[in-house]
Amino acid sequence: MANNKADLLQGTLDLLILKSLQNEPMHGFGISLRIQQMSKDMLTVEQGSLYPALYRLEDQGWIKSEWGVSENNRKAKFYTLTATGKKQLATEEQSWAKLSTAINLVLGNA
Amino acid sequence: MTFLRRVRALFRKNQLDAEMAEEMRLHVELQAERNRATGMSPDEARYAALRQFGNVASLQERAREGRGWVWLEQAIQDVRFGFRQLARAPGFTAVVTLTLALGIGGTTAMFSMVDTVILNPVGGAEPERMVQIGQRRLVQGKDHFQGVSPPVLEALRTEHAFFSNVGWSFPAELERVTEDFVNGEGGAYVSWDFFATLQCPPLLGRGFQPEEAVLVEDGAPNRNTAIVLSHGWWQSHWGGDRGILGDTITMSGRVFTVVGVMPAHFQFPDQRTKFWIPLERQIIPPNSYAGPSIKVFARLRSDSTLKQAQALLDMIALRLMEAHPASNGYGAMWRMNNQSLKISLRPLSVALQDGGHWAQLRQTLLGLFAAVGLVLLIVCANVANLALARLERRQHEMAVRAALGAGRERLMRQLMTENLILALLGGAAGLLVTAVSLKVLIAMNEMPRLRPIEIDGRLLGVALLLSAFTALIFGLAPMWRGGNVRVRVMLADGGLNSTGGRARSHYRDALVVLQVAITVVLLSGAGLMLQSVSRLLRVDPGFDPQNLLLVEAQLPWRKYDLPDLMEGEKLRHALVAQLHERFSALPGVRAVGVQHRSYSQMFQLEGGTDGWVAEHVRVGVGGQDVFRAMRIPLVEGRNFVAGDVGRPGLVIVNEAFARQFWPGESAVGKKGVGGGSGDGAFEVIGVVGDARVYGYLWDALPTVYHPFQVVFGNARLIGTYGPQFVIRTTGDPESLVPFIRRDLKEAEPALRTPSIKMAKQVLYDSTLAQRTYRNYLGLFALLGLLLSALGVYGVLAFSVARRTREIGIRMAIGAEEAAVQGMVLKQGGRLIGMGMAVGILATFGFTRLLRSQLFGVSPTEPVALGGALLVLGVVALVACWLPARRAARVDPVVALRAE
Repeated sequence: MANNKADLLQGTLDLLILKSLQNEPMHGFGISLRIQQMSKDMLTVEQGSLYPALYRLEDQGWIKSEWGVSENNRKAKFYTLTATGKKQLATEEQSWAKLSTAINLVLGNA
Repeated sequence: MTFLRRVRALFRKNQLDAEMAEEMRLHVELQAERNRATGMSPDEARYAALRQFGNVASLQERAREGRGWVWLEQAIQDVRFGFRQLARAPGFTAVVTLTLALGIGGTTAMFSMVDTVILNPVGGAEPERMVQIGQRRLVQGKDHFQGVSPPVLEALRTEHAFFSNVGWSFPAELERVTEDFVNGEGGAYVSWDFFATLQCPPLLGRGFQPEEAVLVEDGAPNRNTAIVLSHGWWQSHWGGDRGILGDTITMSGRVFTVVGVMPAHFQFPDQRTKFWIPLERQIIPPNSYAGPSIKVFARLRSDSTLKQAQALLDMIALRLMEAHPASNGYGAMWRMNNQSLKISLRPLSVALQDGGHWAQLRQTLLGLFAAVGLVLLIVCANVANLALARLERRQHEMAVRAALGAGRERLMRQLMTENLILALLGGAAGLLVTAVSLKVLIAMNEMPRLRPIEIDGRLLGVALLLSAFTALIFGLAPMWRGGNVRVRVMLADGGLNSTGGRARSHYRDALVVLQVAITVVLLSGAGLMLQSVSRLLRVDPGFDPQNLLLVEAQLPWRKYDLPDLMEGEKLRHALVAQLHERFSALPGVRAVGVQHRSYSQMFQLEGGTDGWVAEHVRVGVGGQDVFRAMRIPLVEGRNFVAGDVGRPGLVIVNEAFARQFWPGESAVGKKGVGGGSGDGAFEVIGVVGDARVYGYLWDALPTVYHPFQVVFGNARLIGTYGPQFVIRTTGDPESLVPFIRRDLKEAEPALRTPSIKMAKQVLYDSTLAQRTYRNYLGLFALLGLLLSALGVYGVLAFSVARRTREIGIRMAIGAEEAAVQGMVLKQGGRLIGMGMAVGILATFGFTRLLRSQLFGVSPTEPVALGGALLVLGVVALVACWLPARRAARVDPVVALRAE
C-alpha cells in the first residue's frame, strides 16, 4: 500500500484515469474533462500530472494508445483500456473501497 | 518499464518526442477552444490555456525521464559539448594532448617491456603449465639446473604420462661454405613438434613433420631434410625474401630445404640460434657419453599436478641409476662427487629468466618503468594546472549554466567528461608514441622471448586504463572547483578579477612544487648514471687497448683433430706459427701474441685446497708473447722463456688467482696438481696483472696461464675455440683488417670465418646496458625538466595576468620595475625552493633503486644531486624571469582602465 503522500495521489490518479476510460477510448484532454465532469467539478487534474501518469500507465500495459482523429479533425492520441487494465481497475476499485471504509471507521471513532 | 520497450524507446527517441509535443499541442488547443467558448478573446483563451497547462518543457523532460535513458542522452550531450569546448581552445587541447601522449605512451611502452620480460614471458594458453625438465646438480656448492643427457631424454620420450607434449632442443653447429671463409652457423636440433609445444607458430611456412626428423652422427645430420630459419638470419642473409620457402641451404655436406621462418621475437634457446632442424636421436658412439646439454620443455597435462610429475621424474631417475652402474660412463658421471642423478622441473617463465645478466636487466627495466611513471605524474600535474587555469576563464559560463538549473553534479559530470575526452585523445596519440618507443626499446632487449613485444589487446587495455587514471588525477581538482559555483559572485564581477580564493592558488602551487620535486629526482638519477658510465669507461682494463686487434680463427676440426694427438698438435702449432709470421710481417705491426682460452679445469693446490680455475689460457712464448703484446704487467716472478716450452708444469697466474688462493703471500713457487697440466704437477713461476678482457664491467677471473706449446692429455680439451691473435699496431689497426683476412685465407682456406675486433670496441660494447640506461634516464630527466619549467612558467604567467590590475596600482603609486620583478621572482623562487627541498628528500629514497646499475658511484653522491639542483635552478629561474619581465612592463594606465 502507498506509504507517502505522493504515492497516494499517484495511485488515486491512476484509478481515476482507468475509470474514465472504462466505457470508451479518449485522448488526454478528453480524459481530464471527463474526470472533471464525473467529479462534478470537484477534481481538476493538473496536466503536469496527467501526461506522465498516462505514459506510466501505458508502460505498465494497462492502457494502450492509438493515433486517431479528434472531434475537431486534428491528429490525436487515443487511449484505451486493455484487458489487464480492466482487471487492474477492478482490483483498484476494491482496494479503494476497503481503504475508504477503514479511514471512515477511524475518523468516525476519533 | 519492460526492457524491450526501453530499448525501443531509445531508438525512436525523436519520434516519441515529436508525438508527445503533438499531443500536448492538441491539448492546449482544445483547452483554448473551451476558453473561447466561455467568452474569452482568442489570444486570452490561448494564454489561459498555456498557463493552465504549465511548463511544457519540464513536463516533457519528466516524461522523458520516465523512459529511463536520460543518463545516456545527457552523457551524449556532454560528449558533444565537450568536443565543442575543446575545439574552441585548440592551443590548450593541442598542448595537453601532446604532453599526455608522451606520458601515457611512454608508460605503456615500458609496461609492455616489463610485462613481456618479467611478468609474463611465456605466452599462449595456460602459460603456468609449461615447464622445463632438467638435471639438478650441485656445482661448487651451488644448485645448478642443467639440461639432460641422452638416456634421460630417451626415458622421457617413452614415459611422459603427466605431460601432454614433450619438446627438446640441442645445440647444433654446421659449416656453410662461403666465398671467403667457411662459416660456422649456430642453430639447434629440435623435436619435430617443438614449435607446437612452445605454442609459437612460424611466421612463414610450417613446422616440421615427424618423418623429417633425422639422426645426428658425428656432428651432422645423416641425411638431407627440412630446416626452419630464424627471423634474424632470414633478414640478414636472404634480405627477408618472402619466396624463400622451398629454397635449399647446403651445410656440412647436407642439403636442407627451407620449410618455414620463425617470427622475430622467437629466439630460442638463445638469440644466436639461426636455424632449427628436426632431430630424432643423437647417435653417441659406444663407450662415450654426452654431457647434459639437451634442453627439455613440456606441457603439464591439465589434470596433472606438479607433484605427480615430479614423482614420475624421481622414479625415472632411480631406474636410470640402476640401469647405469658406476662403471658405465653415465653412471660414473652421475655419481661424481657423491651425488646421484636428480631430475626435476621448473616453470618455463623461470627458465627464461635464467640468463647471464637477467637480474641486472630486470632491475634496469623496473627502474626505467618507475622513472617513466614519474614523468607521467609530472605530466598530470601540468595538465591539471592548465585545466585549472582554463577553468578560471570559464567561470562566467559555469555561472550561467548553474543559473539555468544545472545541478552541481551535472556540472561536475560535464567537466569530467571533457577531461576524459582529453585523456582519451592523449591516450590515442600515446599509442603512436608507444609504437615508436617499442621499436627502440626492443633493440635493447637481449633475452630470449617466446612472446612478441607488440601492441595487442592487452596493451590497448592498459593504455585505456592509464588514460582513465590520468584523467582522474588531473581532472579531479578542476572538476571539484568547477562544481562549486557561486552564481551571484561570478555573474556580478564578470569572474575575471576574482582571485578564486586562496585555496585554489595553494592547490596549483602544490602541483608545481610536486613537479619540481620529481624533476629533481629524475635529474639526480640521470646525473648519477652519467657519472657512473663515465667512471666505467675510464676503468683501467689491466692492459692497453689502444691500437689492439683481437683476431680469433676457428680451425676446421675435422682437419686438425686427428686421432693421433701428437700429429694433430703439430699441425695446429704449424698453422699458428705460420700465421704469426705473416701477421708480424704486416706493415705497422709491433707485436703479435698468441693465446688460446679454454675450459675450466679442476685442480688441487699443495696444502689441500680444491678449486675450479675460471679461466685457463695457453699463451705463446717468446715472439708470440701475449703479455707483451697486450701490455699486461708482470707483477712478480718471471715470464715464460723459450726454454720453458719442453718442461711441462710451469705456470703463471694472475693477481686475482693469487689473491684468492694465497692471500697475503707470494704466489711464486707455489705448487699444485691438475688445472690443465694434464694430471701432472705445476709450479707457479710468475704473477701478472689482472686483465678485464671481456669488458669494463666484469672483474678479471682467476686465471692460469700455460705456455702454448705444451702437449697435454685430451685433444678435445682444445675444443672448438680457435687460437686468438693479439696484434698491436702502431697506427690505425682497422686498415690491416683486409690483409689479415687475406693471410688467414691463404694459410688455411678451410678456416672458419674469423672474428676480428678492435679491443677498444669490445670494451666499449660491454657497457651497452649502462649506456642505454643512462640515455633513457637522461631523456626522461630532460622531459621532466622541460615540463616542470613549463609548469612554473604557466603558474607565474597566469598569476601575473590575473594580478595585472594590482600591479598597475602598485606601479601607479610608485613601485619601481625592479620591485615588481622582484615580487614575481620571489613568488617563483618560493615555489622552486620548496620543490627542491622536497626533491632532495625524495632523491635519497629513490636513488637507492639505482644501486645495482651504478659503478663506482654511491647513490647519495653529492655531485650528482648538486648538479641536478644547479641545472634545475637555472632553468627554473629563466622560466620565472619571463613573467617577471612581463609584469615589469605593465603599463599602469592601461591596466587600470581595462576591466
